[in-house]
Amino acid sequence: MTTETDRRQFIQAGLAIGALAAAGTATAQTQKLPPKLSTHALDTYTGKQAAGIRIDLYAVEGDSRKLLKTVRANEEGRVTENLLNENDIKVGRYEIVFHVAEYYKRAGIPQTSPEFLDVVPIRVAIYDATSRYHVPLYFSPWGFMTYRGS
Amino acid sequence: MTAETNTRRDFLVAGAALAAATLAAAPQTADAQAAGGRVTAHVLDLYTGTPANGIRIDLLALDGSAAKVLKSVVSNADGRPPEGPLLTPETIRAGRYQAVVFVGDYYKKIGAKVPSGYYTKLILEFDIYDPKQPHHLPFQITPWTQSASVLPG
Repeated sequence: MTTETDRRQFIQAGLAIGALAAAGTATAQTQKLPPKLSTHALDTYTGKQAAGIRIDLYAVEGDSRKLLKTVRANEEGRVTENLLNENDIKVGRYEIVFHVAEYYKRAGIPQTSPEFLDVVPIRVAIYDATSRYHVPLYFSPWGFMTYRGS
Repeated sequence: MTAETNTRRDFLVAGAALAAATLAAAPQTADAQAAGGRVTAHVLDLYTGTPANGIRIDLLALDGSAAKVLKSVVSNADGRPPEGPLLTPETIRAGRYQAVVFVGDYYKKIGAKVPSGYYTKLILEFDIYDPKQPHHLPFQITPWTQSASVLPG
């Protein structure tokens, strides 16, 4: 168990270093294009892009959040007009909420009652309003993952 | 290991098998079909928070115990093969493939703080059952974790 604990601590340390490194770097290529916050919802249960999934975008301020927009993904699982664009992207913390259970209900996929995953909230910060942020969600009824894409 | 964990794991394995079966039968969007068959790759480095620039990606065709390297590329600043898809409508064939991402070499090259001699590769083995479909292989890596997918589009 000691070894396991040590490894975990090491991994946490590694991730912390990674986060620091992330704050200081961005490719030249991504900075030439206009800033945006975009997403891509991929259903890893059926192996399809999550067409029609409802996505809410909130601005987070302290303990409260303000709904900015509610959209549905297009046939490719993307938000056609992006979540934020050059004209409305601002530094701050945001919450992107993916309505996973509602999506599977619409798709006719059997789920538990109540569903294991209902909505999946992802909180991300725009720390530089001139950069491009892509935040995909891979999900199934039992799990999800996200990352900063490009 | 409790009986409950066992049951839950069995259930998850069954779910994964089901998902794989569904994946094989999944219809594609009209947009994806229009784009034609291909294999594309994209490596995101979750250690630096950027696309993995300069990481080696090999694509091998498997035939029984034989493996043939079809492509060996080094990613561009956007984390993608610099000369476009690994397989195009002209070169894509049904069959079994391996994508190999040289994670350890990459982290050594960028000077990540990993133990000396530490090395790892990400190997994804997958089938192309319909060469008319686009296959996208996104990889997310840190020195300690690897994630790989075969996605439509």
